[in-house]
Amino acid sequence: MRILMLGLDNAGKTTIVKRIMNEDVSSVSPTLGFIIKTIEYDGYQLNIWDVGGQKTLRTYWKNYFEKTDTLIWVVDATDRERLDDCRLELKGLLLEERLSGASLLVFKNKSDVPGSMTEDNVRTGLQLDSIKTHKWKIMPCSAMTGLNLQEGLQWVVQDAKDRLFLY
Amino acid sequence: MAEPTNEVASKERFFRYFQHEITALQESMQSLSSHSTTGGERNDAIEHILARISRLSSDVKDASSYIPPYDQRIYSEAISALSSKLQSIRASFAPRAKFAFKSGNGFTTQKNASAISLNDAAELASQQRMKVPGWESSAESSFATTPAELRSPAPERVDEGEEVKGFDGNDPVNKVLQAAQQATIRKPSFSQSTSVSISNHHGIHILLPSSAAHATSSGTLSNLSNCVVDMSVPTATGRPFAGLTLKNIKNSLIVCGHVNGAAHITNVSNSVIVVSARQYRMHESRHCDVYLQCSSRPIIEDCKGIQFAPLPKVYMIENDAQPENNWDQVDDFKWLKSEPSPNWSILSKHVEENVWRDVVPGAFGKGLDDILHAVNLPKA
Repeated sequence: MRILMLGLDNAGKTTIVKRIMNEDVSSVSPTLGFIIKTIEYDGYQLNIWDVGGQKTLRTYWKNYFEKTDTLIWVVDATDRERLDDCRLELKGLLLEERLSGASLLVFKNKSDVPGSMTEDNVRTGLQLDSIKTHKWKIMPCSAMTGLNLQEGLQWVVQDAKDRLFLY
Repeated sequence: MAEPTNEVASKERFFRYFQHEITALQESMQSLSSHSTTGGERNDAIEHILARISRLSSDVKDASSYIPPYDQRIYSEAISALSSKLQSIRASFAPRAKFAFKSGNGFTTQKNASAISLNDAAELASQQRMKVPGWESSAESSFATTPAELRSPAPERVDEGEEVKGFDGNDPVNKVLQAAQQATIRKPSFSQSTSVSISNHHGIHILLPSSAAHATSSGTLSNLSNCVVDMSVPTATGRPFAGLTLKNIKNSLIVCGHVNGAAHITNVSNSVIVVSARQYRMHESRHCDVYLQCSSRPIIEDCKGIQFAPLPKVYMIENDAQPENNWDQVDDFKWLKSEPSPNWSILSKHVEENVWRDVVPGAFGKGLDDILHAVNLPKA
């Protein structure tokens, strides 16, 4: 199955992928284009498309929408300043027809940093409760400590299984 | 009522806590001389120690219900020994005492000074609500024994005087600066906060004290002009920033110190940035000199006239020697051709090491403009 990982620049998308893959996270550079990683999880093969979040690259995000099963939206829990930018970008994505069938996992990254935003802060800030078009879930996580990364994948896979039974 | 076994456990626990505090305090006192006097850094360290001594003293009082009188006396003696040791260390730093008491009032100076400082510290402690979990400190109890007039001068007042000492008070520019400092800056307390946020300042010199190390989990600096901000001390000796954001800054020198995660920089112009970070991300910025230690490849986006140089040695900590430094491996999101990007270059004329070491921290007779001049602030 195909997972598209998006979010503003500096959200920690690549670091999350690297941590899941048990690769070195200390030398991660900002993503210039996109990275695809394949992870085996619970018998499923997950292709994670990690696309750079810089402003310059956001216009290219649309090239990656096709056949996406799950959208993982990564939020930097320490970046209060740009929470509204973050909300607007996500809102735009959810209007995309080609993402209409995808479920949404919001990863509240950098949750290990003291004083970072709470789950409620982000839930409210991104107006997640107003999302009616997609099945969604928010989880605090940390790419540095590994918090909830496996649990996130578990949710993604379980969600895919549930949908299989529906059809 | 507490069971006897519990009481023994509490006594033991208190003893261990006390031992730990005493050792830590002595260590802090010994390292006082290594703190710089400029920018109030040493004062800040002294304040911190005072507050801890005061808290310890309150803790002993609070624990009096289960500590035998003999032990209490030993604890009190240890505390007053610590206080007088601190006094003598302070005296050795400042031959010209900052606050002197009118002579001839019958008390010995030593005793007075220590009584005052304990109460000042208690006041400070109550302001900052410094508490060890499980050891409620009550500042009021130590006030009760002191006449009101002995509580002054306020520690902040003393400290401000020290802080501006580094500037030439007769220089008209610095007169204005001092006024600006006193008018716009309240001495911030970082001990309870979890992040550092400095915003909306013009023409001031900010030196983040080492006590701010408690707060360096993430940092935001925004809307600054003609400023010098130095955060290298708490992030080197304490904890580095988890992440740091710089936004809307012009004509300034920003010494960021150490960042565990990314330094995220937006809309900075005609400034000098000194930073050691895991990632360096710079956006919408113009004419900046960046002295950088970065273990990944730095990126710029929508930038022009950015010059890069390696981090000056004076700001390096042990960790900086190990990972590779990619300060010159800059990727430009707005330049995808194979030729080098015209938006950045390698800085050819570095500011000398001695400038970072001697001038930037603030020196006698050196004002803000002198520092900005010394680091070759890029012109438009």
